[in-house]
Amino acid sequence: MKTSVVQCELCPRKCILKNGDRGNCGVRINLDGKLQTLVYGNPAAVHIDPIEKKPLYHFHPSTLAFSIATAGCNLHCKYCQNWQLSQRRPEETSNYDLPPNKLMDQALKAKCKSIAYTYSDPVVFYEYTYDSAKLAKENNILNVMVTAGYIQEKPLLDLCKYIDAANIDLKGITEEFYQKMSAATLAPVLNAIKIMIDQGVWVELTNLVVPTWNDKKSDFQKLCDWISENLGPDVPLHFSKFWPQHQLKNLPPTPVETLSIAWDIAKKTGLNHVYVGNVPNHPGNSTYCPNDSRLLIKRQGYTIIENNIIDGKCKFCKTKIAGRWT
Amino acid sequence: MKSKNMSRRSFLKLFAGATAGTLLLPISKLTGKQNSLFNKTNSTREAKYYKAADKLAG
Repeated sequence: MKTSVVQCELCPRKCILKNGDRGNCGVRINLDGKLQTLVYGNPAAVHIDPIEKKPLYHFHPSTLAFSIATAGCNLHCKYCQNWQLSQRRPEETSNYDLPPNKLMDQALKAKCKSIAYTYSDPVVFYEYTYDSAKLAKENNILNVMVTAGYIQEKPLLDLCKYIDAANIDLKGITEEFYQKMSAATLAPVLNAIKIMIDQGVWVELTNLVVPTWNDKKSDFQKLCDWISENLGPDVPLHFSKFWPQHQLKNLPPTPVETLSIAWDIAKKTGLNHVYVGNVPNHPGNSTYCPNDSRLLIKRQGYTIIENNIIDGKCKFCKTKIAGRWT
Repeated sequence: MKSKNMSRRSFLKLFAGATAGTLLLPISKLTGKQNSLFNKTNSTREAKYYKAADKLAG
């Protein structure tokens, strides 16, 4: 008897699905031998954010990102701050009717510089991201992804044609961490980071520092060594404070001292743009010139208080500062 | 309908206070307008990347 089994080729899980089965992400389903997405044009979260919230600090600062996400995710991180969205199926969330053309109308009306595909993971709402990003490009709206980067090479290369910037989670630097924390693997993420940079996407990385999981000096050093050796010194790295969430409510928030240690290690490794996130008034909130250490961008929360970057260069010594400033 | 100043004040409060949490609000909370986009029944669309895999079914 002929079966109607399909294999998804979007992410490294490569789910094999019999008729009626859903993918691990919860938002793809095999219907009579055709794999269907259940979330096209139906985000469950729609918000206007400052671009700094992604976080993207070197990409069109002080502009607004029209931010959307659907239900579902292909990772299952124990600390997920958006778990009510990412670990839900679309029938469990309230969803908007916002196909790409309506999304463009809303983003233009709100005078947003970019559309951000974010909160859960744009990998799982790939088709919606792809079509929207293509239309956004035609309308001179920039496209930003906030993603765990757990995606196969071919779909990523296809999507990169329309993506201008990405914040990619580099959650840890060992396979063991990825397996235990997120039920995923590390190698495809490292590959995705390299591919996006090679394709000309502006990339910033985020490492959420979780007490007892990835907060040792050796963890920070290994992570920074990989970035330095594989990506160079100009990819911004954000160390972010963990707040107890989802399945890790038993842990304390990340101590500020731990984040400061990570910040120091990264700078001593030679990374030029290192940040501390979710800690108000930390010096790691600001941008400094890699040449003369002068303060370039002072931030208070997501607001820029002072900006000394002119035409993409340090106002003082004229060193070119990595980023997409205009 | 909320005044423009009220909407802006609400917006500033929302993102100024945000830390690790991501705000997931209906867009009507920001604009003060009735959200006419809400609660559509999801439809399906064919995925871009997949293949037939009958031989893998076992």
